[in-house]
Amino acid sequence: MWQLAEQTLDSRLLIGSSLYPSPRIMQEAIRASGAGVVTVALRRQLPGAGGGEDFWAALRELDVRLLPNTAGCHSAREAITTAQMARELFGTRWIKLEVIGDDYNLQPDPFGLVEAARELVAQGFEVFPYCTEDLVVCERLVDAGCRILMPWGAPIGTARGLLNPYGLRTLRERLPEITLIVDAGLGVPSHAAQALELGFDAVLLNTAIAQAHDPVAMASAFRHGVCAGRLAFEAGRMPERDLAQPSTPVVGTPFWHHK
Amino acid sequence: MSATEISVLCNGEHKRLAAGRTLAEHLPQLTQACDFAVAINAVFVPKSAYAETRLVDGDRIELVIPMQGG
Repeated sequence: MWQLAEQTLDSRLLIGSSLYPSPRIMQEAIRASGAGVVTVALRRQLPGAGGGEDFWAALRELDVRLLPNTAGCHSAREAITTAQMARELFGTRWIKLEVIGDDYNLQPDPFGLVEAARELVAQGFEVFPYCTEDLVVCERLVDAGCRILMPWGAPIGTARGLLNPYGLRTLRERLPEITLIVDAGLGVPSHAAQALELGFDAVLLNTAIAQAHDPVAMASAFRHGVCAGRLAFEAGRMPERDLAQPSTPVVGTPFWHHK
Repeated sequence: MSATEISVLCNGEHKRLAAGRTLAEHLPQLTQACDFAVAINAVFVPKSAYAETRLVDGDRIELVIPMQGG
């Protein structure tokens, strides 16, 4: 059990609701993942654009907490208005704050992010900013009132894993009181395990599960990866060494040879 | 456009609506969705304000529904 804002959760995996082959497979994958938090979005109602009653009905059958996002927003103002609409539509003050600064790699705009975070915290939101692993940006977000930070592992949908373990480890060491969640860029369960081994509180992912050949099986695999990573962190890893040290006792070795 | 009509942009589409009416009165024409949220001219409009929000010519309405998201 762990604490995410005011919510007590079993799973340290947060999962997205997008890109699944069908609402039914989405539902099964979310159940298999064990995730207690699911991200959602809001969009214009357009013919053939997905969403709609089937998706919404499938999601409401699950016993999960919703985390709406502001995906696609390119300014603080757009993100703030989207968050306000999400709060009413989904009945939650939680918001995954995305302010995109670059369309090529979907890199967050740190300036817009801090500006929007400050305003949304003042309006009573629990802000989950999708950010980079830049320490100073993260400190500014904490100054703005964020208690949770969600640095990327790699750009969204790239499945490259943790591109900067040093930067992520630094964040963990420097911001021990903040809930840290690696969001985006994970591809396989070992990436999730690595994030948890570093001491991150959780991971958030979508594409790696939804676009797997078998999303339900991959959801289960990530569930185990997250558990393994957290257990390893709590167990405390041995330090790295430069030189080999035999694990089998040397004393009493037969056929001992002297040079 | 006559004085009895206004032209608005709803989710990027031009629509002609009767003038002098509120958002609450226009909504059945604008959406069939049960769960939605509204912004007008990039400003959020809470449900509690639908009945007193009068649409005017040139308004840009965003009407959003729950959608898959990552």
